[in-house]
Amino acid sequence: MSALAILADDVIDPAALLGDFTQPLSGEGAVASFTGHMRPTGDDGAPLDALVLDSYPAVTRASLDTIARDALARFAVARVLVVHRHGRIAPGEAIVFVAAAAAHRRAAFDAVDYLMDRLKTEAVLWKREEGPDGARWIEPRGSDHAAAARWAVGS
Amino acid sequence: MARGDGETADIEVELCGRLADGLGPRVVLALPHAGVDVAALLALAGRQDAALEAQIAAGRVRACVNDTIVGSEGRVLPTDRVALFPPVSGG
Repeated sequence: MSALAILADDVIDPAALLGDFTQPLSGEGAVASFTGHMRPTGDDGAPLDALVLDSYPAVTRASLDTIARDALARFAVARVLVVHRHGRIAPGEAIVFVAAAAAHRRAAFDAVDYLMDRLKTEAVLWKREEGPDGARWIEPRGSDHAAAARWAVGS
Repeated sequence: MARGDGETADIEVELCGRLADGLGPRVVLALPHAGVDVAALLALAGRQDAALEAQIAAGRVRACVNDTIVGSEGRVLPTDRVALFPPVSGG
């Protein structure tokens, strides 16, 4: 059983991460993963130049680690991986990659769902969209908090 | 890093995320050598900037002391490493 969380300084390659994650399978029959990418437009349809994620590295890493370890403890999964970018992200680039390996699919699906809900509301990061018209801070929406509340965690 | 000066010492507090919009990424506050609780630290920080004060009044600011998020009863010394966090969002 293992939970690994990484705060990535540079571009991440989800396909390579998934390949590496599945390489050492030892009897697990299910692997689920999720990748979040930066959209090229904001909610209002306006084009964006970048998404900037500010971090407070030691605390940010600790928050990712806690979320990954909690998923491992909560679900019948053998391994969990969380990789989260910080810094400046270009449209189309991956922001976050999570994966879970389990004996059966339901635990893997649930662990990935849980990881993303908690990352949305608890990962110690601050997101700012930058576009031709300026910058705008992004905070969790009501739907994000509602999603996290399904697991009776988060704020 | 604190600089000694009579009854108080200056502490540089890091402002994270949107909290840096008004004052920039750091604000210097004068704390008693014996320290203050987080509630007093936030009150002191709020006096530096109206927007920051509004965020604090809305309960949207948490203090991080030596890499640990602490509640309003937590203690802050001028020698501590302190940051203020607005609501977080990953994913």
